[in-house]
Amino acid sequence: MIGEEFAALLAAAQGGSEAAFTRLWRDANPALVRYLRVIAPGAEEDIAAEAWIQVVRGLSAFRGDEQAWRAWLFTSARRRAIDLARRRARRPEAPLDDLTAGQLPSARDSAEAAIENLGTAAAIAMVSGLPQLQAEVILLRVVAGLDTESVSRLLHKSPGAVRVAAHRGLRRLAEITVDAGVTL
Amino acid sequence: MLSIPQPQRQDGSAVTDADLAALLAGEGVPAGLRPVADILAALTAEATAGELAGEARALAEYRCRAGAPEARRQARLGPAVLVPRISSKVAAAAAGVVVLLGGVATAAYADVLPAPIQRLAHDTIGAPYAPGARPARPVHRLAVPGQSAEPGSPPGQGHSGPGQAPHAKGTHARASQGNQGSGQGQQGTGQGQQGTGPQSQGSGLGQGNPHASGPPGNPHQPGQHGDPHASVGHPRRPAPAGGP
Repeated sequence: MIGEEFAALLAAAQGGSEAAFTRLWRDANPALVRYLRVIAPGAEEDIAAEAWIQVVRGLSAFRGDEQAWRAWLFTSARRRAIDLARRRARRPEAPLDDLTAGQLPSARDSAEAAIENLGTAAAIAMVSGLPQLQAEVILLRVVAGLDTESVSRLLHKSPGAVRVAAHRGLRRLAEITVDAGVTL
Repeated sequence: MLSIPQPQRQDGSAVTDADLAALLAGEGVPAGLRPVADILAALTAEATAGELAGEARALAEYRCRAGAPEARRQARLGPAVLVPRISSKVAAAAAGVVVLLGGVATAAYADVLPAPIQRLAHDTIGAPYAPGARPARPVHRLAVPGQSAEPGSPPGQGHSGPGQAPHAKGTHARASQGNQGSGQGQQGTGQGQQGTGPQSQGSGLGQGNPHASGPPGNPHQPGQHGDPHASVGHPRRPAPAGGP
């Protein structure tokens, strides 16, 4: 989160400052990618790029604080993830055994990611094991830094449902860590 | 009724709302929830290189759509668009220059330019040039052989005043056979403005004999007797070669 500088950075980015836009992008994109790894695994980078395109198009008209900014960005990404899930549901998927070596994901990238940030990857994997709503709420609250009200609007849930989902998700994580003796 | 006793767990099931709030806030986390706190901290760790890989793509989109006006214009206008725009400007400028030069050339051949410019045009493109003999209104008349000049002919075309042809000897000589023929036969005054006899022979007469001394002027036989010293004037327009 940027904090007090956000308003100035946003105004500068709206005025054409590439440096300000880069700062906004670098602040929010990692969190966005981590969120998308859970709700749209394998397509996080493409969806994030599409979401940023949407944000750039509407940047000059945006009015709001940092909470609203992040909520806008994550909402745009979530809509694209939902569209992708619908397309995938309509489209038959080929089993991995039928894919050639060139079509398989690069093992090097996965290894590099694991080496670079093993703790983050493991944490995302653990959160991904939670029920969808609980995982989303935890990621939006913790990673995106959104408050309960913003998450409830984003997910079209009541604030109470969001709180319950957050508590249940955290409890579940606590159980998992104790049962498995997980250490990151 | 059979009931299966649930073991009292000493882990996450005993988490209170206050503990959860502390987890989300990242402060005051109980020792038993340290692993969960570590997971949440790992979720917000520093960005990896892969998570910042799309910066160039986003920045390019920003330049195209929301960047500074100049950057946006440059991004939208590629070289393929800029070159035709430059070419069109150059073509417009070239067309303007052509029109300007054409107008100047036309004016030069019409002999309506100021004297210095007219002389320059004369030197460069062969436009007619009659220094010191600029009429107030150009008179263009076809010369009629045997017709004498009108008394009111403008200087240089007939009645050259004394001093305008200092070398004229009073013999008749003609300026040209063409439409500048007015003023022929005006004896004793000379017709030219500058030219002396030898110089004037090539100016349309083609007959003048620098050594010939002609009889008194015969206005009806213009050009028959060239006077080497008679100023025949520089024709305003090149007269056709050959005599009458």
